Amino acid sequence: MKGKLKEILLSICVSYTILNVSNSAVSLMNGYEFTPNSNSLNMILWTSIAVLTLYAHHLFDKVSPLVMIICQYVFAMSCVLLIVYVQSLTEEMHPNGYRDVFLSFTIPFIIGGFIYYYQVYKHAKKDNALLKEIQSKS
Amino acid sequence: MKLSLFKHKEKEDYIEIHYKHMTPQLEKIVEVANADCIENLYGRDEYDRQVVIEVRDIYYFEAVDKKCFAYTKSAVYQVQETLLQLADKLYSLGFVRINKGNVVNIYTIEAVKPALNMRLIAVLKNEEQLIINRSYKKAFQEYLEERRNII
Repeated sequence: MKGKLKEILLSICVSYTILNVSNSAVSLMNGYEFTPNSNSLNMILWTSIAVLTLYAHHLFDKVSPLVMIICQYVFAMSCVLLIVYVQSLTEEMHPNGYRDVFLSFTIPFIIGGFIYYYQVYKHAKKDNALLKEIQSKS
Repeated sequence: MKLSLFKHKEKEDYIEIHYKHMTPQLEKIVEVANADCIENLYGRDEYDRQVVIEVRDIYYFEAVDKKCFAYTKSAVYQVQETLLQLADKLYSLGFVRINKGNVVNIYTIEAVKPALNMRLIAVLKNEEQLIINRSYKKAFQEYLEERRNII
């Protein structure tokens, strides 16, 4: 349990760092010198939601991978939109706010999900190579 | 390392190793010596007859309802040992635990396929498929690396 928690926290920290640095770079390229602090806080919140959702894949053992991916995405997106809605009750929301949130979350989620699942294919490839080597030597 | 062999017509075969430090080379020799002692297991077939099963013919073991079964290419036998005992006893012969209910013989695995829900599927030479659970994935890979280094 401790090991799993450590892994989740590490994933959140690494993902957040990459996203934050990428966001800063893109903002600077578009001429935005300053990013509001609330953006940074939102980013860590959304990253945590995405990572925790991906780590809950064991709950979907009995369903097909496609159903699992869709369920995870819908759940995570719903949580993010709910948070934004709650924030909109106290802060003014840009007309394209929800659209921007949708894009800002969906694109990194897809990229992160791709990287996450690619690891499994990499493991299988390595295992096959090891098996062939062992079986040929025996 | 000095090696001496003594032939005795009447005495039982045995190996005695004198060492200062247990090196990887010596560990390999010990493992080979231990492995050679386990060639067969006793099991019961579908007619409840006791049979001798050659370990190398076993594809995998499965634990069901507190009973343990050995699966060969085309037959199933019930064995007395538990899955944990088998995983331990046959560790050096290529048997490794891949989930809560299975111990597989890696020499009977045709290929390993990925499953999107972070698990692996071991496809055996008789086309049966076994799941390598997430929690056993790392241990499975470490086991393969260990076997590759030993052989």
